[in-house]
Amino acid sequence: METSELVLPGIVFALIIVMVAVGLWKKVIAKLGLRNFFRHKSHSIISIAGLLVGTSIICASMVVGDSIEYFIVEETYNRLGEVDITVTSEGDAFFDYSVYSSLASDTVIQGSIDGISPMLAAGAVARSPGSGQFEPSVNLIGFDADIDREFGAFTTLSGSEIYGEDLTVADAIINEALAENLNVSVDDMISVTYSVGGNALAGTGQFAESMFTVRYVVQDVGKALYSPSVAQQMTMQMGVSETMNVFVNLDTAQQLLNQTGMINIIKVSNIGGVEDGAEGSVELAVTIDNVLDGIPGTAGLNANTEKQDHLDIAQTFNELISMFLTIFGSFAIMAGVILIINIFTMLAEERKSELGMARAVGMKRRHLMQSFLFEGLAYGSVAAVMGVIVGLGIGVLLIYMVNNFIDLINVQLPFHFELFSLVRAFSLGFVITFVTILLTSWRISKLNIIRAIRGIDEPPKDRKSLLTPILGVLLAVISFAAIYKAPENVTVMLLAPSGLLTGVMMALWRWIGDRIAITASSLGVFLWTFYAIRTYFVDLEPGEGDFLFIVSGILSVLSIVLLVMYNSRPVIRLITGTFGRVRKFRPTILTAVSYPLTKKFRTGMSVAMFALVIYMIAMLSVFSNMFVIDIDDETFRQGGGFDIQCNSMIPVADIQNISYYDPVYNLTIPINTPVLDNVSVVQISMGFTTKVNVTDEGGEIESPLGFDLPMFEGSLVYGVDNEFATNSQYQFTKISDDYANVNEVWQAVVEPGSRKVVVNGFSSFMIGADVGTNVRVVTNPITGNYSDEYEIIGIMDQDQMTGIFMSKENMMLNFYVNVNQIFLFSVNDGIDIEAAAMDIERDFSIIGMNSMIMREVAEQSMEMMNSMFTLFEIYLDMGMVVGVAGLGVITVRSVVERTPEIGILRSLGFKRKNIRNAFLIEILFVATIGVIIGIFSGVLVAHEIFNVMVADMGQNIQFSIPWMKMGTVVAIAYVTTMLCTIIPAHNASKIQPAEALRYVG
Amino acid sequence: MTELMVEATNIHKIYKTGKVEVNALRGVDLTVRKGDMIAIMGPSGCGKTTLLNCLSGLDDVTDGIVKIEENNLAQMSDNEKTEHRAKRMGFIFQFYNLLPVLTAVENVEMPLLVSGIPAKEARQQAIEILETVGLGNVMESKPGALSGGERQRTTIARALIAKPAIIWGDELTGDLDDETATGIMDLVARLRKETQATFVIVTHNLEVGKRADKILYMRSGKFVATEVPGQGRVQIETAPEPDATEIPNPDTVEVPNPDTVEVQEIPAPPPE
Repeated sequence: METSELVLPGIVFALIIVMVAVGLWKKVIAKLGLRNFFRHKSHSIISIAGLLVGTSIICASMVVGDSIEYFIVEETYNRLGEVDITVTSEGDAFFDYSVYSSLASDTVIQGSIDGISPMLAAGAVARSPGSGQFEPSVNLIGFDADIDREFGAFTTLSGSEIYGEDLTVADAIINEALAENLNVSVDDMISVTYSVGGNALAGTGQFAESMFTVRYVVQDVGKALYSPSVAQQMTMQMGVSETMNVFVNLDTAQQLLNQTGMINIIKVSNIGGVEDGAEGSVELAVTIDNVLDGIPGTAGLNANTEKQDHLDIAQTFNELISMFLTIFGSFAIMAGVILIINIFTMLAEERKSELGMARAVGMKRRHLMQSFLFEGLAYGSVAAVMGVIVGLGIGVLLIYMVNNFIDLINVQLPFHFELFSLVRAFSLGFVITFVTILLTSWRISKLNIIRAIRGIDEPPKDRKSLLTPILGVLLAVISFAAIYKAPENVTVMLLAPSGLLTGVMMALWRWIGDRIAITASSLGVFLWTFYAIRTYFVDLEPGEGDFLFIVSGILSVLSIVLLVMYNSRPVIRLITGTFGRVRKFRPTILTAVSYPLTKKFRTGMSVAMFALVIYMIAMLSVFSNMFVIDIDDETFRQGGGFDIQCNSMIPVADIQNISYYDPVYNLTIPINTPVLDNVSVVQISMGFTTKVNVTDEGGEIESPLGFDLPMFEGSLVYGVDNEFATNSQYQFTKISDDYANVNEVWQAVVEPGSRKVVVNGFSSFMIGADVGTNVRVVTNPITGNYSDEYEIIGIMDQDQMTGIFMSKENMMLNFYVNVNQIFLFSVNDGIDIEAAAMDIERDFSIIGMNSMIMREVAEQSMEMMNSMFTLFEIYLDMGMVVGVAGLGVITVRSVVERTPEIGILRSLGFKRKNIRNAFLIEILFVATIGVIIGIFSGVLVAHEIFNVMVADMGQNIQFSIPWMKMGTVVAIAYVTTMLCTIIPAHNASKIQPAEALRYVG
Repeated sequence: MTELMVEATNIHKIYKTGKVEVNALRGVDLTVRKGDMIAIMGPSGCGKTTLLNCLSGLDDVTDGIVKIEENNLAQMSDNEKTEHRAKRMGFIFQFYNLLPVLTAVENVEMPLLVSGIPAKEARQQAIEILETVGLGNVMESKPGALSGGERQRTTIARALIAKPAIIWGDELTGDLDDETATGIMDLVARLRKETQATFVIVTHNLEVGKRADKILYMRSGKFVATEVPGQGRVQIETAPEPDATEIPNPDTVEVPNPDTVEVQEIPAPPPE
């Protein structure tokens, strides 16, 4: 927790203390305010229901974020156990055991750690001769049982703790998940296939198989789950795959992998336990790096703050998820704020004559304000507490939905929240309510005593007043100065021109009047917002997008609401002229429409509230619709014309000619692969660069997401050859102007001595790369740090290989890799694709071949996308609840406020159904204007954002408006609005005319 | 024989507020003939407005029979009563009770629109009657922008526009100064003459009452005296004691006896 995070709760605490102190000092005022809170219990409950919305949305966002952080943190502790730092070579290359000895004997390091242990790990394939099952992605880990004791024990399935010092060369410890997958238990035999020679990744293409007896099956906790690579750890954590480990003696592993005297991981445990060990990791890693610098032959070796990195990732995920939910929820929060203003304006309207009397008998304006603030304090506190409780409920619901309905991740998220998150949600909700009430009560306290007592509407603002023009000039000058000073700042360019125009109109207001001033400024703000999105959103700074997204949405909605409200006469004429033609409806319609358009402020607020909610739903509907695409197109997009994409655990030089080496008999045995008769294949090599720098003429480009985490700094790199260039049909979202077509792009990438690369769309987004920028890849495990720069000449439109594509020649140069690990298969005509995929896995099981049928991948990715959007849509529907409930609250209060008018209408001959219909039509009228404004601005802003930010993402992504879906949303909005307003409208119709005429509030 | 417009027999009205019952009307009998103008007078809280509401069908009686143009209100559905109100009745309320969001002309045309008259025709008639009551220049103003007298004239125009058979008036001049009140009553008299409508009005103001054909004095929910202006007052019966359960109300408790004390005009309460 940072000190700055305590500011808000501190302010809230201080506010409450001050209010309580003032309350004790001015008991009468406090009593007056608090008595109003308890006066009409049902009204108070309705108001609180409206007020708690903001808090509940903030709380739900935080709770979901907390749950995700908690999950990752717990998984990190579970998987890493005592391991805080690892020393590895970039690319997991082997290094001499003496490095471990040097570090372990260093006195400085010794003083900071409570454990250090060498390991040798390599990718392998495990099989059970007994059950016939095999597991293609296994880690073969060699460890020294005596040294490793410092990292705790393995726990067997029976619960006993073992360290493995009794393992023979033919024994292995396997974890529970692997035992289940292979269907083996203690004393069963398993075979393990692994790459031999070279290094684990850059194998020579030869591999060997060894048999082991399962000595122990250990529980999936602590060091049994250790994963040697960061990339693997992340996928394991997200539940994409499980960790499968085979532990053998270090000597045995060295011998099998032909790496005598070599290791590739040194685990380090800081002083402290599993949870507090991560503290001080950064300092210790620097110390280790310094010691490494003094050891000869350790170029490329680094100390990685592994546990701390994972904890940072957890926090980032928390912030990311909270941010997404808050962005989407911000429109509902804003709608909640408007609802608060509306509720208090209506409360004041209802009590107007009472307030006037209070002023007449000597209460000062500040007393009125104070009295309202005490009432607001009661509302704010109760609503914030209730909001936190409701928010927790929504959080539980969202986690439940993620766990049960979203196929995005294959894990069960725990429900977890930090107490401080609740305090923050309470504080934010309280401050939002309190500030809104403060401003509203300030406005209310300005009432004219006589007009208030006699219930006369406030007259139009005195145009002689100089306050508005002075404020206008001030606003215009500040806006102009901002534009002059920072014309390159997107926030300034979005807001300042609108401020300038509004300021000028305020300055001219006394001469041009309300209507012209507001029409001109609202229209100007609306148009400028669109222009600004189109022009400036292309160059967003990292982290700037979320704020601007919210602000541009609110500006576009509110400006159009103002525009409509101040030009409402044509609207009335249109409606009464159209529907009023039917004589029977005319009086009802006239009454229904006149009320909202007379009370412009209140109606504008209600319309804005509904429009904001519909705006966000409309925008999300449009975006989700962009990703609903034809399955054939998606299959082709993801597969680039290939039917099956495979990757092997063990890399091979040429998949069409593989053999394995038997160390026992010193024999090379060719593998029979009949499936190759039915398929053709293109082979790709693969490497991992630990750092990617993207530069253009202006220098280094930051990732647009603004991440500063190791997992986002590196990138996968793929080596392709002429065969790939000729046979692949991957689509591109962008290619350099220097090339006429995609074929030319690929030829430029694979030609000898090429300095050109291609990046896939997602990767280009993550690292901030574009056509024309340069990308620098840093790595080379064998020859020491190597750094090379390439020009990006194309952005590929596929998601299955995320990273940078270069020639195999450059792969060799950078990564020293000349073996292939990814295989793209085209199935011959007449051959079943699914059967072929199974045959490939079977024939190449020895190298741990995993296959993906591209059509299934396309289906899954679409399902995943749909699930994600569904989750957001469900979340946003909460916003709709706000809008609809808000209209219900407003109807209830309208009925109360307008009871005498109901009496008049009834005496004039309005039947009960006319009264009911008048209220329903009125609310539907407000909802309809809100829906039209929400959809109109939502679709327009979505269109602009699509053009600026999404259009380049892929050829299959097209802008289209989901009329059907939006129609359904609107229909649901109408039906729920009707349901919420029908009861108060019905109650209004039931009031006896005489009783209504007698009503005095 | 002149046609009966209103016939009320032994009507009672009891308000229930929680466990407390208030006898607002205690067996009122009344007949009003076509073209009559009846004034009901009495102190605040004596039941005048309640009687008016019960007679006009705005409120239901607890007991007794109310017949309007020979229709028994108790046997009419809410819709029938509403339609009857729309077509045959006009109302002039104490505090103008105009719809604040509609302009004067929109307020006045409303009864015609409710009766299904085409919009153009309704507007034309509304303009004509507003000109008749001297409001031709403010017809596009909303009630908030009108003076008290203008509002009351708008209310009268609205009450008369549908040419109702009977007009119910509750404190027509309650909130107006004497001069304006006289002007309003002159207007009512003129319009009454022109339309031949029946008027039943409730008032505190003896000057207003004297414009009626007959004054009925009420006290504690009963008629206690009757007077034909210029012919003297006739005691009907002794004023009953207020109900033991009646909510203590200074107006009801300390009501002056109309037999001995002339009804005084009291200041109108502040508007709602």
